[in-house]
Amino acid sequence: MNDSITTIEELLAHPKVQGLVSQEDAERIAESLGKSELASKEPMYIRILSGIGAWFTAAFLILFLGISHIVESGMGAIICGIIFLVAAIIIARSSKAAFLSQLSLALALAGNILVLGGAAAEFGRYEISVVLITHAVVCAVVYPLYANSIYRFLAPTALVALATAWIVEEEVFVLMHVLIGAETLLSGILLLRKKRPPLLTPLVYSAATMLPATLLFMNLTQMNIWRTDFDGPLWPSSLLLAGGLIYLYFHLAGGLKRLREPWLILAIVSTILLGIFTTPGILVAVGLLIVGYAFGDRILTALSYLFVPCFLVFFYYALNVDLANKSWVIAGSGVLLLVVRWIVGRCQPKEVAT
Amino acid sequence: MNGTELNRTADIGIIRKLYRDGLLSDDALISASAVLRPISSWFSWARRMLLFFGSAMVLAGIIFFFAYNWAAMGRFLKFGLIEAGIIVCIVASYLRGRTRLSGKVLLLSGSVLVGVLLAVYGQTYQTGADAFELFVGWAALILGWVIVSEFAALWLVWLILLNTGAILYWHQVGNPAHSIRYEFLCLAVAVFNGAALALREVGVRRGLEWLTGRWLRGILLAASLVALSLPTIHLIVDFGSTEGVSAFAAFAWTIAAVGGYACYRFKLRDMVPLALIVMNVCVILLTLIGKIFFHNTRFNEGGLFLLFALIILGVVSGAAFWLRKTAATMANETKEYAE
Repeated sequence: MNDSITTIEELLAHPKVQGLVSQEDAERIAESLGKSELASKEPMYIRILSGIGAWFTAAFLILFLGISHIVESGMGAIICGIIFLVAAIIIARSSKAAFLSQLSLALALAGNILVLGGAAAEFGRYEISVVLITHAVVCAVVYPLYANSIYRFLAPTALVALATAWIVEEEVFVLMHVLIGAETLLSGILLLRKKRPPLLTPLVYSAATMLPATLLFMNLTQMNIWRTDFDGPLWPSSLLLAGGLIYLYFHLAGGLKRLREPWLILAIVSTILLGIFTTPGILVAVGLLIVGYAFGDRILTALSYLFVPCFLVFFYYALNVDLANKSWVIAGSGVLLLVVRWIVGRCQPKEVAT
Repeated sequence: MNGTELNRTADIGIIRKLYRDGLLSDDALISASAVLRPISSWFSWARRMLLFFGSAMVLAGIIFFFAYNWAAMGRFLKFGLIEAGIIVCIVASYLRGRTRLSGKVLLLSGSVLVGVLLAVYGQTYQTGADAFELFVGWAALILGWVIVSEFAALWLVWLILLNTGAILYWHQVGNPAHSIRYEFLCLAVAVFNGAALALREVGVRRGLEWLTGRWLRGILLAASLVALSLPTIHLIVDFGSTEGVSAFAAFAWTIAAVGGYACYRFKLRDMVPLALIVMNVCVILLTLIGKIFFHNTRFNEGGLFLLFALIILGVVSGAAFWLRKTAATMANETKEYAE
């Protein structure tokens, strides 16, 4: 049998797969692929264009409301915001036309901002906790009802950003670890979940983006260039993330029965060492890299390429040694990676080497 | 079985989607994943990642070492170490071979060390040279290696050096000494990157496999469009302070946008460059409309903001609609051509 699989038909006919997929299953797969081609999701470049356009439209809408004195109080902003959100949901459910889809997204963004701003103004103190709680409620209500992937990505992302801002404001550093733990759990459950409804897909990417972003922010506070009073030990997050990463290895490898594989042992030991000697962000970036490759997900892979260098820079910048020794540590780390590469090459099973 | 749908390329993303939709069992997913991503592919991937990050960190360590220690080191030690590093990288690249990724990465490393050597030379002898001369000289010295490397990433590094040299030349010499307007810089940058893009397309047509990564196309096109957009936007926003060269740059932008559309719509058929061009056109168009609307208008006229919000909606949704339609048309044309 030629092991060079190129089509789904060839894959389903492969000896390893053939006995596990019945004729009926194959027909359902063909039918599903045919339907998904007709209703294929929007390419990324259209979503980026739509998202940017909607943001600017929302900004001008809010400016219009402010300049023309239609909204003059906190309660007025809340009411206007709710009207916008309801209108966005109704428009999205009634039409898929390009203009109306854009309009509904702009209304949703503007409505969300108005509700938050109105709540902050109405309570008179502009506290982050008010904005955070309000956004959590709005997000929880609107997310299931408003089927727009851009909103469903941005709203949870904003929620995490607000939560982080609140933690910084209250100066409760330990809650950063709780937040990171929650993000890790959410990312893990959503990514590795067996059956995931399509409405949760944007939430996956939101979690995958906010987890390293939160850790990056935490690194910033450790660097004595901002909020030097806002620091604490990083080991709780490292522990959580190392545990999560090891669980990921077992999940992808096929379970505990693969524990004796030398490459898996090497991966686990490397992860533990990374958790001990580096920042937790590096563990997340490595996790995203692995998941991106395992799932063929270019977005997760791109996120990992973005965050790995950032976390490496932060790690070495924060090392409490002079630049001379730091250069040895960095170069030494690089040599270590190259040595690990050589070991990996030696560990490669010969029967499947290509 | 419907042959058409099952003749799709099998990739891990589709398999996972089928699994999430309940069309594949757990065992079928594991087996299909093992077929598409056998253990050997994981090993290859891991080795590529370790090579990329390991090399980058070794290079970074070397650069930091010299950044800190050079004041205390004798000049011959400095030069000796860097030159030894360059020689080791180039010899190792030759021995590994240009066709292997490790060989290419070693050549890239040697090229980066040439820049380190020039920087140390400039610092040691206080030649008084401008920074642009370092970048241009660096690009000139490594050109031979870049040509033989067959490595798109090294070509990108070389183009970055050239662009940086041009920008620094304008900043340090062109503008202060010769009053060269920034529009000429933008035109030069657009020409560099546009020419590189054209050569890339010709190279791919002639079968140069190492150029087929579409990321380079996107970066070069974006660089050219952005360079031409800046004087165009300036021309729109502040017409009174511009000169003929701004109008020429705007004309060049128009040619680039139209030419790019024709090329990537009918000849090379790629939606990502088309999307970049469309986004760029939206920015220019909205700038023009915004200028017309808000010029000589009191800012307390809220209605203008509402109208402009609707115009943004119209332009962006029109662009999105056009992109979707074009993608569908191109997909149908490709199917008909295949049949």
